[in-house]
Amino acid sequence: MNKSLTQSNDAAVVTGSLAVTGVGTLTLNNVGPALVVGDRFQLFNKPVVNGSGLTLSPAPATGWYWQNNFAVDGSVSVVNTLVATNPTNIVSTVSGSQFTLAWPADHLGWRL
Amino acid sequence: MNFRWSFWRPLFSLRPIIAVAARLSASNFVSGFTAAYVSNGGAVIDTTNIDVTISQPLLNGGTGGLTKLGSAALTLSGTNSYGGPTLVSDGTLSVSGSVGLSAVTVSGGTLAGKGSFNGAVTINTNGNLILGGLDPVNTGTLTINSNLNLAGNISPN
Repeated sequence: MNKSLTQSNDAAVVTGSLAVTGVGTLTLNNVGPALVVGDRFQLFNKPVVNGSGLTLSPAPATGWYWQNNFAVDGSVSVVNTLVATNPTNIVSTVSGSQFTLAWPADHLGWRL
Repeated sequence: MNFRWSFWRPLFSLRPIIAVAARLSASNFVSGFTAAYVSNGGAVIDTTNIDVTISQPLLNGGTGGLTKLGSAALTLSGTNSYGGPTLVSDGTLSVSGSVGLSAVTVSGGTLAGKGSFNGAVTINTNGNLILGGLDPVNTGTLTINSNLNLAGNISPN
């Protein structure tokens, strides 16, 4: 991947079904400018069924991670905190006139 | 393996075994013809020890497909329409042109490409997929006009 190019990364366009059926590794090599948190690379043109099963390696920088968005939109992105992707429960409480929603800290970053 | 080679002369048939020896070079490996028909027996191309590029189209001459053997790379840069399955068990099959309706299975070795496939592509557990071909500098896009099943490893090059 190289952010300085018009097409920043190698990619695949698949018109049929697109699925991960094993536990392979996706190797990501940056040969361009230094990555920053928030960089996103579209490797596939569509969501990848079971795409979260791919292991992403190596880390983009010390203390940073690749966020696996394959099952969502076929992309990966650079983050400095991993967001858990497993389902969790949202806890609601009511105190007087105040309604509070809470969820585990490792799920911060989810979008509803 | 059955190939019918298409020259300026009318088509004729022969049964060569394509085993790439060290004395051959990639540049003259498949010179002297403009296209080849892959017949019912299929084509087996063993690229042990040397990388090979076939720019001529491999055409549909029956039910045969293409089996890639050997640790070196085979590059298909033409417009290929053979109909049988494509099997990769070792080395690298790089497609910069196109492969027709052939279903591609990588059981070992690597499939690399910025070309297009009209058949389903399956990367088994011991197989690898390199998106965008073997060019380490420029990016590219692999197009699969069918299904892609990934059980092996992947890397953008």
